[in-house]
Amino acid sequence: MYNRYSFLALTLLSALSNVNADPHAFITNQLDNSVSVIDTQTQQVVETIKVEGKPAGVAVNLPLKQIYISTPEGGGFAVLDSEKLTKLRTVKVGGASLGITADRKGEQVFVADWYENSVTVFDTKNFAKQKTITVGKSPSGMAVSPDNRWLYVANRIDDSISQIDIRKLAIRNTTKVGAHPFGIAVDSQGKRLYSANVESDDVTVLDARSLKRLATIKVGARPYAVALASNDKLLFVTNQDDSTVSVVDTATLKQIEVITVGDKPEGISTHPDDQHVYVANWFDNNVSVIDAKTLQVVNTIKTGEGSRAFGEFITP
Amino acid sequence: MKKTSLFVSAALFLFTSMANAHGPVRAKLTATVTIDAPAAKVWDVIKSYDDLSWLPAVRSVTGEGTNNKGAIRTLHLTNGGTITEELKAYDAAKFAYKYKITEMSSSGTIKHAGQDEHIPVLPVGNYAAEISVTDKGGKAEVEWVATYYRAYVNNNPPAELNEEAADKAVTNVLKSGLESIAKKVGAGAVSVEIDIKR
Repeated sequence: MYNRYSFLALTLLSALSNVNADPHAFITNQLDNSVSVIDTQTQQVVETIKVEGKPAGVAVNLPLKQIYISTPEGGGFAVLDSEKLTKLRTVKVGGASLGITADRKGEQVFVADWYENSVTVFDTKNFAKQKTITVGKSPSGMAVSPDNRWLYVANRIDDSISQIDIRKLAIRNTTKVGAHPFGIAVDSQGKRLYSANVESDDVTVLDARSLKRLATIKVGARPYAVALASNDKLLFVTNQDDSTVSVVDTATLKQIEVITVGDKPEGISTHPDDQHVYVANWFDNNVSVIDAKTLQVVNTIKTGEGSRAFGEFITP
Repeated sequence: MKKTSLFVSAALFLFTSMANAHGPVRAKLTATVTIDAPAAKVWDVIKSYDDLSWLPAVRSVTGEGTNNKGAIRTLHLTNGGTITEELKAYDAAKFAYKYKITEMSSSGTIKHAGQDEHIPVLPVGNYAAEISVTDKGGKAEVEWVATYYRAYVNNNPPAELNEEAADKAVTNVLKSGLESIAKKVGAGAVSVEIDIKR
């Protein structure tokens, strides 16, 4: 009973404070030291937030309504309020923070350090350091399984992916993938893990629990990151050097379409509607919006210089 | 004595770890010039993908005679080197095209960190660029934007293959090219603006 009432109260509260409730996309503009916030409803940039330190990675903490922005040259990350669209604070990590993600409960934030070969874990209450886990060389993209059990990290220079037990904060398993994995994504069932391999121009498909290699799929030149849409049926891959996005059918594990986007497409993230896929184009300073039903670019939104948006960057 | 050497090694360590903290980062170099001539006339000089007679460091070009996407041209440089480039996009209406370097000859070899390292004729990695002409109130603005990494992919690059060497080489090519275009259309002295971000 208590639970149901508190849920009702929460629903009412959130309905009342519904000012910024539409999903927003947070695009890091690395060369401008800023973050462009796109209201996905109106398809407009509604705010530009200054973030120093060459902002690159993005993570969403849904329960706390926070956004984390990694700053490779700021040696840490910035914390943004996802509704007020303001910067709350910065957190020092040291080294060069790049990959960043939060656990599914919003209690922890994980930051990969490109040079220290480690993932540092912070609590999201006081941003106190909980642990530093040594991983492979040049850790980059990260993802958390839907059941909040596993944290995956791509070790770029080691050509491998590590699976970290979130309860123990220790590595459980590491496996080889293609050459220089960068962006990774896990499906909504926690069954499969996909990595974009920059140097081998392909995507590795792993069993997300056992890390068994299931397939390797050829895509375009220097693939950067991946995102799933349409009930995990389609995988979208940014090909930096081709100015395209590859679309992979996850049932047949074949590339079925190549969509032209802007130049140097990098970060890619799927809207909560599971139909629209947003791509940050580094060279063109804009974002392409792809409709996963028609596989067409339906809009292009101007952002800032060097749009990178590495990670999941759209709030639910 | 001991104190000094400790201090020196601490400083050295600090310096090394700072240098380590900057691996290869993609640079964006924008070269811009305003030429007192109609945009169409300026575009005429550069519009044939195989014609680089306006670029001083190039002696001749072997090409395919088309401006079609995917066309390959090989630049034979005055210093004897070669650069192969692929046409990525061509827009005659917008007076613009994009290309990328796919191959380069080496201008020498150095020993660094126990390895032989080739120095590419243009000491950069993964180079792509766009050149475009825009009408600005009767004058032509030519913008040439190049993106590239330094040539050395590991940490602690040698001087021949670091960011500074890359920036300097690209600046020279773009600046001399834009000045030469102005000369070809008979415009007066121009000043090329260079903006480097990474």
